[in-house]
Amino acid sequence: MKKLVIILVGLFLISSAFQQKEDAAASNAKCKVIFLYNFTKMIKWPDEYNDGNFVIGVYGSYPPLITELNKMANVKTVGSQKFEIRTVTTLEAATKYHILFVLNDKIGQFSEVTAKLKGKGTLLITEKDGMMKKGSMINFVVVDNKIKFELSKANAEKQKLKIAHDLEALAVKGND
Amino acid sequence: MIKRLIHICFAFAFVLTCAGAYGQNADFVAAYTFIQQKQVDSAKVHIDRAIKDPVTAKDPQVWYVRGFIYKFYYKTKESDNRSSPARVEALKCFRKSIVLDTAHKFTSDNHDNMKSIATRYYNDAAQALDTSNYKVPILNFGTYREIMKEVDPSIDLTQKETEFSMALANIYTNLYNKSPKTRDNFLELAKDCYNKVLAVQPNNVSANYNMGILYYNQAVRLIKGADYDIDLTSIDGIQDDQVKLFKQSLPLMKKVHELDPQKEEAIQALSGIYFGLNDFETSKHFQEMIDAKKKQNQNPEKKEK
Repeated sequence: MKKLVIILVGLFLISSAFQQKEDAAASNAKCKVIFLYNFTKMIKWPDEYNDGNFVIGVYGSYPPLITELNKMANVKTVGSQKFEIRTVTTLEAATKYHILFVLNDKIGQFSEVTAKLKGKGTLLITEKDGMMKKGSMINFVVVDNKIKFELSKANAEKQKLKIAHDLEALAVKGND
Repeated sequence: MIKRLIHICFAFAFVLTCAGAYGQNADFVAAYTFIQQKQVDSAKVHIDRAIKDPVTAKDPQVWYVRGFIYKFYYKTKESDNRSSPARVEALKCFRKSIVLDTAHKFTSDNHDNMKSIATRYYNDAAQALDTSNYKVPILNFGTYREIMKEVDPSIDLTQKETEFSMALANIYTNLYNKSPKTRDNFLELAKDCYNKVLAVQPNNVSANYNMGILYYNQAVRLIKGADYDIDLTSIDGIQDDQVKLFKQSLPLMKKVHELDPQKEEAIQALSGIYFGLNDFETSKHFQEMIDAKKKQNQNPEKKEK
């Protein structure tokens, strides 16, 4: 009888163990990184951007995104260009970014960003409603619980970027 | 131990009183004598001969004693063997004794011994259940259930079945987690186990939570395991699947939160599910609940005020 009680307790401990959950933020970040990697294949940058590293700047704080971008940078390239991931705390106009992802905690400074990077061949990505009208080229939006993107060909062309037709077709809407 | 001795004494007294009837079967008497002296090997040889003797072959007491001897053999020589042949044989003997015992003289003793064997099967199932060995425990638990129902058809085994299903679900989940890409059969087995539990105990917090986490983790892993080279149409399809899974997880976790509003793991999971559904406001709401709880735990005086 004593043994039975001991075993019942043992089973109870196993059966009431709670499973560990994965990190949803990492999944969200990975999803955005896959989008970004696809953008690098479907957008053409000016010729002067084809040398050196392919620089992606993240303006604002979202550590999972930096982690996932670095993971991608370790295994992927854009042609012969290696990825270089930068966390941007102070935006320097002189720095050459292929992509600058402006996160929501820095979105208040977006007009300053567009002014500093005007005509410099930088793809500006945001994730807040209404940013296309303020000069964003690609804006992540949520539709039916999924991440999708808006695209402004006109804003991109101002930065001398050429957008593939396929990418345009996949965008949910733009302000062109 | 005492019970066993009582049984032996009872049995031995029976031999003495029935010596006339069984006098012609020396093996039966010898088996008794040897088992009383704990000489189980010799007892086994004689009782095996006794059941072949036409005079005693259909005697329920002979089969009961044989069951007892084989059970003793199992306990002394095969207790580490979870597929012990002696235990199987002992069970067969008690069952045969019950069938032959039309006067029901030995029913109670046979049932007690069967329950004792059933308990051993249950213990084996519980002790051996791990990720490297789960098939024999499943059989052992099945035998436990079968014996207990046989002895008492009205017995309610819901609690034990639930505990076993929960433990088994955890084993399957751990097996799945070791290699999610190649072992999704274990994921389905785990879900089956939790569904069994939820069918009889819909308010079981652990089952609701763990089932919710299964769906949640499956959703998260869909994207985490995706290749960078997949195209945007494919990522949209993956997101469709992901949303479905998060939505399957949501009601389960909401239920856990209703049943136990203080359970931090559920609040954390709800925050994660809403984050996964890209509903960042609701996710933030649950995250703030967690942060408030953490603050409260750090300053318990404030809570009292």
